[in-house]
This record gives sequence, C-alpha cells and structure tokens, in this order.
Amino acid sequence: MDIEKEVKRARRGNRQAFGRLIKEYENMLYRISFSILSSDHDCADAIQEAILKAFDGIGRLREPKYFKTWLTRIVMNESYQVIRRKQKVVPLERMVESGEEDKAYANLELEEVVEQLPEDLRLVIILFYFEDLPLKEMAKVLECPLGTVKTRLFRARTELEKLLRQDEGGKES
Amino acid sequence: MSDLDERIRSAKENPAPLPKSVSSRIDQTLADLPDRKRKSKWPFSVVAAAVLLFIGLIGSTYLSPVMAKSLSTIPVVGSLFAKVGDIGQQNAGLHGLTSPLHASIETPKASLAFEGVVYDGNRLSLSYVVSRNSEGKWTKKEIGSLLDGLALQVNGKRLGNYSLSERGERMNKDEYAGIITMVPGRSLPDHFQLKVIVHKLDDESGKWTAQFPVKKVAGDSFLLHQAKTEGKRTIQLNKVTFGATSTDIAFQLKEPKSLWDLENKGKANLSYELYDDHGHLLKSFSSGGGGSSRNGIMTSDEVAQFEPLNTLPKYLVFQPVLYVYGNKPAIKVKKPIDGKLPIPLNQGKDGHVTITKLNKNKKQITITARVNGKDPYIQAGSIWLTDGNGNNRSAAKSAKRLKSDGDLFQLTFNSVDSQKTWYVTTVKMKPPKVLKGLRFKIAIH
Repeated sequence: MDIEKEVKRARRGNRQAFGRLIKEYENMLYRISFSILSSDHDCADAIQEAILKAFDGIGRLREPKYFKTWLTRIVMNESYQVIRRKQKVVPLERMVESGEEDKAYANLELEEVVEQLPEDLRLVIILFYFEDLPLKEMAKVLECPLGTVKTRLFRARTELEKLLRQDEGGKES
Repeated sequence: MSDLDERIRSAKENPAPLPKSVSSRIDQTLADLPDRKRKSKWPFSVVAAAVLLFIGLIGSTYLSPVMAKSLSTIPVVGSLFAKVGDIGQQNAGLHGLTSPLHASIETPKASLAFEGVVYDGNRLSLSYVVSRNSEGKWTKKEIGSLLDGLALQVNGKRLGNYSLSERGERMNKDEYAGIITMVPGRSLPDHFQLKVIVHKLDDESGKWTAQFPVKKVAGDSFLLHQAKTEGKRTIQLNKVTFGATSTDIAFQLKEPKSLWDLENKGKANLSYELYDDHGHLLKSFSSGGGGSSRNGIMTSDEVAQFEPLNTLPKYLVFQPVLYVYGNKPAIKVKKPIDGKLPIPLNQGKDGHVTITKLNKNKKQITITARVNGKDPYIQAGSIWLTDGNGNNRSAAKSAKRLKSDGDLFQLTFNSVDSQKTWYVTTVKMKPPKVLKGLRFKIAIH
C-alpha cells in the first residue's frame, strides 16, 4: 500500500482510503493501547476514540509521511484518557481478580515477556522494534529528549534479554 | 542477528490475530464514520430534519408485543431508576424526574425496550429492559457486549467524547433490566434527539437504531472563581452544578506531568471528597477529564461527580485526597459467618467495620456493616465474601449507605449457596492523604 497516497486521499475526505489506513495499522493501534491499558475492553474504547479523532483531524495533517507517528500519538493519548475517565474508585476485590479474556494477545511468548516490562520500557520496545519508528519520531511521540529514548531503549533491551533468559531457564528446570 | 532480534522478527512476521472484540469495534467505527462534508445546503437539512422527526414520532409511538411484554414487568415509569439505579438515579426516579420512553429495538431472537431517560446537565441515564424470545439467562458478558456495540448520536451527530457505564440486574430468567449512564465530554443542548445505535444484541450482529427526544431537567449551576495551590498542584474551581442525578464540580487541575503519569500508571490516585453543610460526606460517583502537557506541566479540565442533593446547601467543602499504592501485598482480614454477631473486622489505619446484621436466603446473603473510619465508602466497598476454597464473591452492587444511620452500609451477595461456610473478608488499608492546602469552602448564593 502506498501510505502517502492513501493519506492524501483520506485528507480529501475519502472514507475508504481512511479505512484502509486504519486496517493497515490496526495491529499497531492494538499493540500500543494494550501496552498501556492491558484490557481488551479498554483498548477497544481507546482505539475507537483514536479512529474518530484521527478522522476528524486528518485534514489538518500537513505531512503524509508522518501519519504513523501522528496516529501513534493519538492512540497513546486516548489510552491515557481511558485511564483518566474510568471510575477512580476501584473496588478492592477487582484488583485481586484476573481478567481471563484480556489475555487474548498474550498467547505469544515474546509478547508475554514484553508485558512484564515497566510501561515506559514496554512502549519503547513496541515503538522501536515492532513499529519501526525512528528514534527522533519516538522522542516526539513520547515527549522526551532523544537521549532519554536511547537510554530507555538500552535499558528495555537489556531487561528484555534478562527476562527471556529467566523464562528459558524456568522452562528447562 | 541476536536471538532477541530473531524472536522480534518472527513475532512481527507472525502477529497474533486481533481479539474479536477489538477488531469488530474497529470495523463498526469505520462503518459509522460521519460524513466530512463541511457545508450542507439548507433544503437537504430541512428534509433530513423532517425525516428524522417522522422517524422519531414513529419510534416513540410504536409498541410491539415483545416490548409490551418487557414493559409489563415494570409497574410505574421511573421505577427501574429506583430499582437498579445508583443513588442519584434512584433520586430522579423517586422524584418523577425521568421521562417515559416507548421505543424499542428488535431482532428475531431478542428485544431491547427503552423505559425512561433523564438528562440533568451532568449525566444522561437511560433505563432499559432486554428480553429473549426463548428462555435463557443473560450473562454479564452478554450485557457487556451490548454496551461495547452501542453508539449514541445527539441531533444526528456523533458524540465526540463521552464515557459509558452500565448497571442492572436480572428481572427473571430471560429479562435483564439496566441503566446506561453516559457522561458527555461537553454539555448537551436543552432539547435534543437522542439516537441509540446498537451493533450487537444477544448473539446477533447488525445495526439497529432507536430515536427519541430528550429534554434537560434543569438544575442549578453556579460559576466559581476560586483557585488554590499546594506544592506543585493548583486547582481552579469553575462550576458547581446541582443536577437531579448528581452534583458536579468542574475544575482545572495543573500538576507536573510526572505526578500525572504516576496516577496513570496506577501507583497513585488523586480522588476528591465533597461534604455538604451538615458535614455529610457525599458518595463519589467518578472523576476524570482530559488535557495536555506543556513544559512538563499537565493542565486538565476535570469533573468530579457526587451524589445529588435535594435542597441547595449553604455551602460545600471540596477537597482532593491522594491514595498512594505500595508494592506490598494487602493484608487480608477474614472471619467466618457462623451465626454469631457482631463480627468486627480491623481495617488497619483506615478504621474498622462491624457486621451487625446478616440475612440469608437460599442463594443470597445480605450484610449490614457499621463503618468506623475516615473513608467510609472505600471501607464499605472493601468487604467481600470468601468461600472455604478461597474463592471471592463481590457484592452485586456497590455498598448502599442507609438513610436511617449514615454509618451503616448494606451489601448484597447474589448466587451464593448460603448453606456453605462463608467468610466475610476485608483488608488493612491506609487512609488517603488529605491535600488540605487545596481544600475549598464553596459558598452557595
């Protein structure tokens, strides 16, 4: 798919082109929102709002080549909004129960290990390795200096390798 | 290429399929995208409005046999609000502030009948009964998927930002009655047409709509111009609204993004308390909002919602409280239900609760607890039942504060075999830190 051409069509109000772009990036939308929310129900809410916000705002996106970065930022914002808008008084018993169906994505071993990382490290792994976002774009999306992104990425990779080794060690024993 | 790189490459090339609930929501959202035409010519608008009005009228008078069956179980309009609503919706139902509806959505297998609606400027509450043509118990998951596939439009336009929640209970084997609560991100007009779009009912997917007029039940609003700063946080109060179903405080919160992030990560929770002029702590429904960060400072417009008041108070006291969560596992406290009363339970520094009354039916246990402490709603909400195997059972609804005695709370546990041994369980907790520098006394003139 020629992303830039599709973005230009979508900017002119072509709903089909916008739909094709969203389908192209739906796995990315889910990966990012799940790394923040860890619940399929909440992810669906955040992604829905992100799609609607993106549809409203795509006419104002100047550079089609930054569509992916722009969409990443929107879904991250909406995921944080879901957290903020949720009822703040969480019954304590809900904390001890686990959501079975929220783990649909966690069937892959690597994703399971990535999920164990703290959120800031999880996000950099997903953005850099899974979504191939350049470091400079990541700094924009994460609203932090480039150096911080590099440090986080180094820490995340080290931590991930450690967790994978532990995981394998556990299986062998 | 290292082992890690190889595994990442493999995971990227073989992505797991999206969960069905997420992919179907994406598809629905794309199917429902609004037109982005900036200008519409007036003849089309007039025709469209006339058609919508006609559909609304048809929708409001049509009463099918299935729907009639559903509504036959509801004796008085507004009674669903009183029966299954939260304390604010009960208030609206009991005071006759809800408007009756006669609109339904039907599929060959099920029907969804809307019973009543109330919009008080703060929240829109919509009561409904969902029925199956065949007998079958409605599960929480099925009701959850109804809400997942639900979209609302006001005067034909999609609502940009809103939150939905649902509460209800089974009426009989094949009927479930509930209330959908919608908190809009912006205020709605005084009169509007509400369109409900349902994408999933029972196990059928499709697109069904119902439309009806909604009139705002006027409440009292007071603009506020008070601001306070404590440490790195600033709160500026904007408005208090006394609605039929809630009391809302709208304010702007400024805090360092690092603090805001701590809350998002679940390590802390900035919550809010509201007291009336008798010193009575009002039940908090929710709080939330949104904003943006600049130079490390997060500025967000927030609304905190509390139970409604039936008469205007002389003043209110509003204060933020901060919960900080540690990494240590909670210390549980449990005592058997063995017929002996009272049952005291220590909740640590937060205080204690005492079970003073127990009612057992065959499949239901209702307990009454006297709460002693600084955080009564959280304390009462932190009581649950545990069976001999350690399985937890939470209350069917949030703890209900009894009007006769403000320290007494009632909790009902459904589908419990009351012949088995059950334990009443709680945890030791720390009270939240009151941010006294951000406490406001709001005079109501």
